[in-house]
Amino acid sequence: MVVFFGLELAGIAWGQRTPDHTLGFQMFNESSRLTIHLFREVKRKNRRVLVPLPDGRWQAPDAAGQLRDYSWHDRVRYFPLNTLGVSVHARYGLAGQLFHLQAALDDLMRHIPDDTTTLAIVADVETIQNGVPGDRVRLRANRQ
Amino acid sequence: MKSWLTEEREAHLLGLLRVAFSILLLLLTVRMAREAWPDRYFGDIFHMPLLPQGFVLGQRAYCALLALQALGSVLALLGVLARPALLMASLCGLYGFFCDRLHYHNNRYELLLLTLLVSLTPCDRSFLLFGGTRLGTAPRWAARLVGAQLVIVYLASSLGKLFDADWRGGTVLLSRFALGKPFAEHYLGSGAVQLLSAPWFAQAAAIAAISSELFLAIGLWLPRTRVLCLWLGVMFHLGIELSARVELFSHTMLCGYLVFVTPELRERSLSWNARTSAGQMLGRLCARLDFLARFRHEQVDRQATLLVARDRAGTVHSGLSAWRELARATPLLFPLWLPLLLLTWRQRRGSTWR
Repeated sequence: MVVFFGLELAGIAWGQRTPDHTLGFQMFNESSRLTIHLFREVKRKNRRVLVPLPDGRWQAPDAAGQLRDYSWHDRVRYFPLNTLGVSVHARYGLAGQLFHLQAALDDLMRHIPDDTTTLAIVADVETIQNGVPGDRVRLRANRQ
Repeated sequence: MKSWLTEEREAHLLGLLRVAFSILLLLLTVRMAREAWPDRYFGDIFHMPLLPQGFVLGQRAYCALLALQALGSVLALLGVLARPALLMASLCGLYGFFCDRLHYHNNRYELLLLTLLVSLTPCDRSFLLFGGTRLGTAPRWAARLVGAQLVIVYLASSLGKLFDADWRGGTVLLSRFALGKPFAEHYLGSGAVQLLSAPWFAQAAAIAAISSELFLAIGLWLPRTRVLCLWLGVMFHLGIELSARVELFSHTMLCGYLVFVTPELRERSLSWNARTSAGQMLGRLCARLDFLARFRHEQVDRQATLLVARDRAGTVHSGLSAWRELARATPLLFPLWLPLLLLTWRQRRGSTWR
């Protein structure tokens, strides 16, 4: 029992430090919102440009030149990250969802090795923390 | 501390605790299965394991884990190998839970931890579909741990809010209240909308919420404040249930309150006037509602009033005081207890809240 409660209390202490407060029993910790705008970074005329992905879908050629379909939602089904362009509640707090979003961007980049044109996936995030409009946050995941 | 470890009390209600948590865990298992079925298994899409990736189960193994969890819940519910089944179900749930932090929910984690602790209590002596009830005393220490687990949640939650300036200042709740304004405008009028928009009201509500959780964490352990805490806790969780989507959280916490109920059975009595049809009908109804077995139920011919209640100390109550005693120990009527207590305050001077 000492081990049980020791592990649980250690989990709570760890949960206070993690952005998403996992294991921390932090109920209703924020009333924050976020709006995710997704882009892919590609090279055009020797310049890197951002192409908006309002519905999270795009087409890109593979190494053989064959056009293939890609979608944010093929990998990311988790709410609120699966909702693009709409203001949604950031459950367990804004920092937690930005932490999850960065991980989702990294995950997506790892799973589109055939896409030969996407250099990075970028998320521009409008934030409202506890009712107060906050900074616009930009997160990105580069091709490895 | 030593007496906590060696104390033995009546174990009948722990069977009810097992049944309640088996049902809750079964409901959670069904929800988890629906989340993973048919093509939404988290391991095949973006997920964030708390365990090393190599420990994350494949889809078939995860389905087998959920099946084991469901089987354990059903066996525990029926009372067949109840404790090992409940332990297995909770461990399966915890393992699956640690495979993806995106599916972390405080209410699910709390339910799994509580279920594990319930499986350590002597909860397999009553409420059995097969086999007879074994009356008698049994060690109480694991039930205390269930209570401690409830307290940990209240403490972690309240202290987190207390140390957060936005929370204790009311900013978090003010934003949340803003979501309820259309409802308030439609059903309650402009006065309610103004109230929900007032920063002072949000701050007062924040202070009340933090204080309530802190009071629950401490007061549930003190005999003098326990019944008041239970009432406050019931109201607190009913309020959360009505105002927010929290899955099984309120049910989990309210079922957990069973460990704070005095374990001994039928130490109070209710006597109904058998000469009136109301007395006969209410007597039967209250006997059915008394699933915590708090009362001995009697029908008496020669009784001036409809209801007479005798509390644990042997004090006889009639009139509104009798209804107050009925509400105090009947779960479905418990919300009425405090209003009745306030109405009968003068009559109950000298007695305690124990």
